[in-house]
Amino acid sequence: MSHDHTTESSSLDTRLAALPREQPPARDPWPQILASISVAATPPVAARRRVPLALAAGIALLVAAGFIGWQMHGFRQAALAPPLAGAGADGRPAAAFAVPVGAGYLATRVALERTYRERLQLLAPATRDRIEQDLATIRAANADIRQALAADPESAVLNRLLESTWQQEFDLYATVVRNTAPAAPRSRT
Amino acid sequence: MGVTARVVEFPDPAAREAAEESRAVAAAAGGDRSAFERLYRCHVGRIHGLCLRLTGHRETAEDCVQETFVSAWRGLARFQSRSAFATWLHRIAVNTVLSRQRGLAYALESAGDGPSGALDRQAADDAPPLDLEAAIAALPDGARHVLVLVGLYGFSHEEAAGALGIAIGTSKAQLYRARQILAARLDLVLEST
Repeated sequence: MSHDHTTESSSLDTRLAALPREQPPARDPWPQILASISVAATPPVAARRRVPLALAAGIALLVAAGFIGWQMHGFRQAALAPPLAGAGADGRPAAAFAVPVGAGYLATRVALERTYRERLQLLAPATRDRIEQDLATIRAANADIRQALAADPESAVLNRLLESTWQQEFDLYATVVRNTAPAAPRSRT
Repeated sequence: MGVTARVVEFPDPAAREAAEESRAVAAAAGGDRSAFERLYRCHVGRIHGLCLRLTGHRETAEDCVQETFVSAWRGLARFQSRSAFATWLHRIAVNTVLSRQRGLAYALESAGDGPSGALDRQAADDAPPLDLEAAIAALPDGARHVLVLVGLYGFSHEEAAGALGIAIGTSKAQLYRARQILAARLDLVLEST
């Protein structure tokens, strides 16, 4: 490390140290917090849930089973549909959820969900309802895991489960989009 | 003796504050909302500062503060007093911010109308930052997160890496990167020559 960098860092550290760590919010959120915590009929001790992890894992398994069943009995034209842009060799989205997200990821995800919403309308009502139920289950699992993480933020298992819910949601979108894409004309070579 | 309870005097104000906080935590865990409000008043400024610097969005930061304290209330019964309450609360705040950024809700907010974080940072890139806060807000996410946690809020690299889901070496590299960018943007090079 050069002398210049050391001097820069020292100056920077001085300025960083001078920054106020406390920055009160412009509006006091306490009334909203109080309203939220007052909704619970019982105090935290009585409301303690012993096994959120087991519940989350159970929901994740349920969702996984649902996906498998749905894909096994899914759309016959799946094999004819072109792979999703940016997908891996196995047709699964190439996005990696374990890494912090960036603007490109967010834009891709928003675009994918928009397409999913459009393509969902092409499906039979019963199929559509089933897919929406799966999505609701995934989001419920996500909320449950996040709540459990509040009490145990360092739990590697919970963090992995949380990431898996993002992946499952993304997979659901991608699966619907992939399997409802108009068949591309086959090239004759 | 008419005295039924002895008040323990702490010569060290910090020790007294810690004891008072422990009592407030215990009371809040038992459902005492006024005790929880005392904890909130004590920590809200620092938690909001942390959320604001991690997100770069004032409204999002306020939402994260609200979510952090609601989560803390719900998790109080499971709080292990072997770690400081403030440390525990900071971890919840970091997790709240990161969960929000990873989530679809954040994606939709970013794609919606109104200035997004990306736009804020782009604007900051287009003009020289006026102060250190603006320069920090303009940092890439990874570098900013590590700088805020380690450089401002006293996380160790091990703690920051755990919270951010990255390797310790990556945390150190991101801090070095953040410092390099800040030094360049704040013209600290001139001071070193």
